[in-house]
Amino acid sequence: MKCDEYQEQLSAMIDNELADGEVEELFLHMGGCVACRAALRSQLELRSGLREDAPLLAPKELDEKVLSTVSRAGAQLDGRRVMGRAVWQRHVSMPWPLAAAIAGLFLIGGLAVTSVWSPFGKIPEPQVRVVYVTALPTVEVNGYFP
Amino acid sequence: MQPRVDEHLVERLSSQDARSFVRLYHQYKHRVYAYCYRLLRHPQNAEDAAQEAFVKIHRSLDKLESVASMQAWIFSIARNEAYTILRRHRPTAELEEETENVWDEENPLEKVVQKERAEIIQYCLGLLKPSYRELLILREYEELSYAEISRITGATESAIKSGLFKARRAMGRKLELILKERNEL
Repeated sequence: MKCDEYQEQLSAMIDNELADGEVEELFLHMGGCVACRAALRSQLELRSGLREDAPLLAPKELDEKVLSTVSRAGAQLDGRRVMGRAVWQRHVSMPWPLAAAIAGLFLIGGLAVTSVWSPFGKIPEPQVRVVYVTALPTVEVNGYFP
Repeated sequence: MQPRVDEHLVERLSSQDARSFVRLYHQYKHRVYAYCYRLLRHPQNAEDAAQEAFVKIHRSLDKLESVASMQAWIFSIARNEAYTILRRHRPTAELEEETENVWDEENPLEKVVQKERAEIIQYCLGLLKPSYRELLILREYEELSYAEISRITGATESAIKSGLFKARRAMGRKLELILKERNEL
């Protein structure tokens, strides 16, 4: 293996991507190679230099841009989903006092409507017919009465 | 920087839970922005790329398959957005080019002689071609393994190993040259 190849292995070694056997072989080579030892030093210095860089933070504006865009997109998506469903498949959520009030209104409204309107037309008033009996039928009984 | 894996978050994300997305956004926003910034070297472009990336992440939450793939999935979406912006400013052929020449462009050394070592390193990083630069960013800042970088970039692990070596060697040589020039001035 040439020094170039060993130095590629060196780069993988500092990334913890080499097997134990490969690391051993590399160190054996570096023991007698000034250029590869210098390359290791250079790569480690580069790493520490790169990592000295201050952490980069996302600007505050990004929060607003992303979250408002996503919120709008989510609302549109929800709207499309709900409108695409049949009425009986749609979910509605509301606070329970409001739901109770609406249910009460439906009940009262239903009773009020059925009291003045019937789907079968006007309910007929009960009619009373008075029948006067003027003569009782004669019943003839034939038989033995002890 | 190791990923903080949250299995419940992934489950809720898959079911399009809005609050879970907000959590994911806050968990990854600095990393995604920093990745885009280091790749693009421009704050506004980095912000645009990060914004687009998160909007796309939100739109395709149902495609998120597992906890293990979440980090790579997020960075691959951010990468696509960053490269879309890069392509707007550079010819496509330049990005695809695979040559031994890893430098994107040569700038006058005078611009950097007064800067500190870390700043010079950042300057050198900015000179690398994006395909090499991103390898260093994903490895050195995000501390991703070759396998994870492979999932994000689509390159093989051996290509990543070789690319990282070339990028480091070129950076080391450039750095040495700049520091030497600086001492001579």
